[in-house]
Amino acid sequence: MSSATSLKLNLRPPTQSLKGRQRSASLVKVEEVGGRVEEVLDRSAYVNINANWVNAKGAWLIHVVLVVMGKIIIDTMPGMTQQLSWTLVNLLYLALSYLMFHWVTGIPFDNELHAGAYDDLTLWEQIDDGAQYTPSKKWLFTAPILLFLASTHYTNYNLWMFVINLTALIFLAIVPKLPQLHRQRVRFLAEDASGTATPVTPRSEKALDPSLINDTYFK
Amino acid sequence: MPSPIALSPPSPPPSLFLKTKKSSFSQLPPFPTATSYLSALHEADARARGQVVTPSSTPPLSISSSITSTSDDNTPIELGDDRSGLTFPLTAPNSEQVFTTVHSEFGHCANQNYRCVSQHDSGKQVAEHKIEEPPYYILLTTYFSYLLLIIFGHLRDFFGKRFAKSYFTHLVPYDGYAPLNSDFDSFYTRRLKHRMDDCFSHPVTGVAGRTIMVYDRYSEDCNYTQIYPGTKTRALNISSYNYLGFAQASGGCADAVEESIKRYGVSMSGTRLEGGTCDLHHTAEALVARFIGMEDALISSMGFATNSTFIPALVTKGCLVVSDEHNHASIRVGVRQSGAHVRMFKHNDMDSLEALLREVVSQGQPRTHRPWKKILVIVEGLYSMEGTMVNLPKVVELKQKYKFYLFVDEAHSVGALGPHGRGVTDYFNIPPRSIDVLMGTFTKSFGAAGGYIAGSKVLINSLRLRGCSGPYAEAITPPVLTQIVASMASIMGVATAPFSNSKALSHAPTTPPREDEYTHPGMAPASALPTWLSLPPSLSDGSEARERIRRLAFNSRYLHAGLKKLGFITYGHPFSPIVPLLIFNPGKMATFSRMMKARRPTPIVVVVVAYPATPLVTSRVRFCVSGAHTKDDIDIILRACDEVGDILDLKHGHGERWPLEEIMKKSVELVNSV
Repeated sequence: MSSATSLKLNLRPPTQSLKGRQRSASLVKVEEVGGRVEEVLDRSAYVNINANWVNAKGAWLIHVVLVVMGKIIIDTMPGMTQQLSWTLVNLLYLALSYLMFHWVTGIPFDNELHAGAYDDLTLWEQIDDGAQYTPSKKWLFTAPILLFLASTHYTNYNLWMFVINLTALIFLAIVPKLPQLHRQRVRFLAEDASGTATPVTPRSEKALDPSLINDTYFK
Repeated sequence: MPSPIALSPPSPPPSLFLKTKKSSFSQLPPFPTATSYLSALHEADARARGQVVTPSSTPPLSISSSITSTSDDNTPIELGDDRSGLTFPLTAPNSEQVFTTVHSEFGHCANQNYRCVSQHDSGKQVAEHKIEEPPYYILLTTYFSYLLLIIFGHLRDFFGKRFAKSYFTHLVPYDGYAPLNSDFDSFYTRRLKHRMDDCFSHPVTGVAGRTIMVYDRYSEDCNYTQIYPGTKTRALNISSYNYLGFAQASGGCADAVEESIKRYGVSMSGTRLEGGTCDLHHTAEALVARFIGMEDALISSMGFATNSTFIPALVTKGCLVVSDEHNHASIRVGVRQSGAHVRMFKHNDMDSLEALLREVVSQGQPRTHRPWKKILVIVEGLYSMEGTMVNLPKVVELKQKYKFYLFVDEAHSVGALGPHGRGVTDYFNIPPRSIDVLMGTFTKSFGAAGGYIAGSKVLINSLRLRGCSGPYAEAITPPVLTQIVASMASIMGVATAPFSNSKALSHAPTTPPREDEYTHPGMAPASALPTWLSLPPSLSDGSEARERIRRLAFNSRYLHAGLKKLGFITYGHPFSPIVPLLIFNPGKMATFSRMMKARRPTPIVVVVVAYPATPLVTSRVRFCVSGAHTKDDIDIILRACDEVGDILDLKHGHGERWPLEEIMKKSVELVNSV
């Protein structure tokens, strides 16, 4: 009978930091958000009127109207060429629509009703309860592409303008709207152990003297 | 101590409710007799109309024919100057008309033409609610307004946090503490609602009946603080839920409530399951069950809590709730609390409901595909934000086909619909026992508070024990129960009332009952009421309640049809007492409310609702018609909407348009053609 005390286990040596789970060493990590059961239930209990308006009458036309208005206002600035004007309109539209649809998360009202079920979801992910290939999403995908094509045409296919516009289009409009990236977040150099903004207890290399914990410790 | 052999009985002890009426009578100008007072009224009215003043030949018989004094009016009654129609009727009563209510609480209207019956015509299909769309420029300007508001709001937040820190102390981290409120979550409240805060939460005093006394206020720092000069304005009240006009400080129900306070006190001091139940609870629950037409009922002290505490007792994990898109928050809270799965179908769309039912019944639970333990479909009788009515015959037909359980929330429709006021089942003439659970509230039509659930005896027995308000929530108080009992008994009519006048005999339903019809809408036997409760004869034989129901039906149809003919876009069923008028732009909302309140001689307080309580583009003003209003009041409102609507460009309806005078003249014809 072999001695019970000597067991060969292939364990990794424990690391100094508090990351108990195995983590990859890569800089970029793709993480899913908002998939917990209670969040799904909370979302299905209410109509999300923060995101519903994209299906209403006039919500598609307002993009065209705002772009035309923006173009007219930018054209009034002195010293503005057509090329610069179209590029600016394109970039501004991409930037503002990225801010509105893909940066801001949550719903700015009515929080006691849905208990934070949408707090991690951007407006794009809230539209149509997360269903893909819906008419509104198709329009919102097409509109920046049409604007890009118009701006390319009116800049006379200048290479540098084209490159700028295309890069902005791909990274600000195409990539965030892909169905494969639904509810995925790309994180660079993520360090949190729990994934939320909880404070991590200090490492045990330095023994912490409780008498040293006072107001200055927290500042 | 009065002598026991005295011939006249001792005077009754001073009571809370009658004191103010007596004190205001003592403030009358010095008229020696009732006839001289009323002849002065007649003369003042004739002067106001510009007619020749002749001495009235038949003075009214008694002062009670026009009780117009108000409960807390400190000003002496100036009969010639008040043209608002709020405290006195615009047309003086003649000698045959006897009114027992106070005009500022319940309007005096004796014209029998202004009545109609609320019933679904069984020959016609239930009409689909067609939504009218406004022209594009309205929608585009609405989106643009919201965009501007959001941009300005963010700019003000950005600069305010740096330059006006005193206003943002609760929104930024302070002294090592997290912010008290999240500035993102409160963005709409601070940057949209706050701008028009003077249109919400008006402080009021007195009874919220036909008219309401509003405290004046103004703000000098953009609604951060309000200044009250101390004056009050009496305004026409088209915003309170008061469908049958039972919001009265005087009258049979108020006297009964006073009596109950003397007998039972003001609180039961306990929960229902721990010593807080008394005989009045059993009486009231039995009466509610009889009123609704179900086997048994239970009463909860709060309308919201009725849904949020009893829905978790009906469904659990593994069950499915199919609910309408626009269901009330109380239903959603209850469903979320229960842990059941939820699916929503498009508002009032029966095809969407059927498609959803076919999907959920065939697919079963997610992932495991096991059959659902229970499928409960929750709909409302009348939706309070849209004014639409559920297509109950179709839902019941689907119920026979797919065999789900049905829960109808009649918070707004009980008392307000149906020829006998029994709700949406009465309106469509469907036997109430074909629905599994009927829920309703007493706040809207009965002038009380609280809610009830009615169903089979087995179900209600189970809910009494399993609902979490039984052991935890306080029992409903006796005065409120008495108001419920008194108002319900008036609507039903008490069966052993003396049949001394012809009005009682004509209480029989207008259409003869068919063989397959449930003979459920009947009168309450006198044994079902407490012995100490005595209602005045006009209430106890059901005639006054019938008048109220018919007035409500006429008023709601008239307002709806009148607004449509003026050219406004309105939502809702043509017969519903809730009439939403669409305003669309957020800026116009505040202006509409302020202009209505600033109108003279008759100010009107209205309720405006916007995003996020409604979808983004459809801001609306919601009128709640009451049986206490008269046709003159509806005319005042139509005229006000006409003038304000022209100034604000609100008339985008597609139908035929009539001028205002023609609408007011042909009101009866208009109502009957709806």
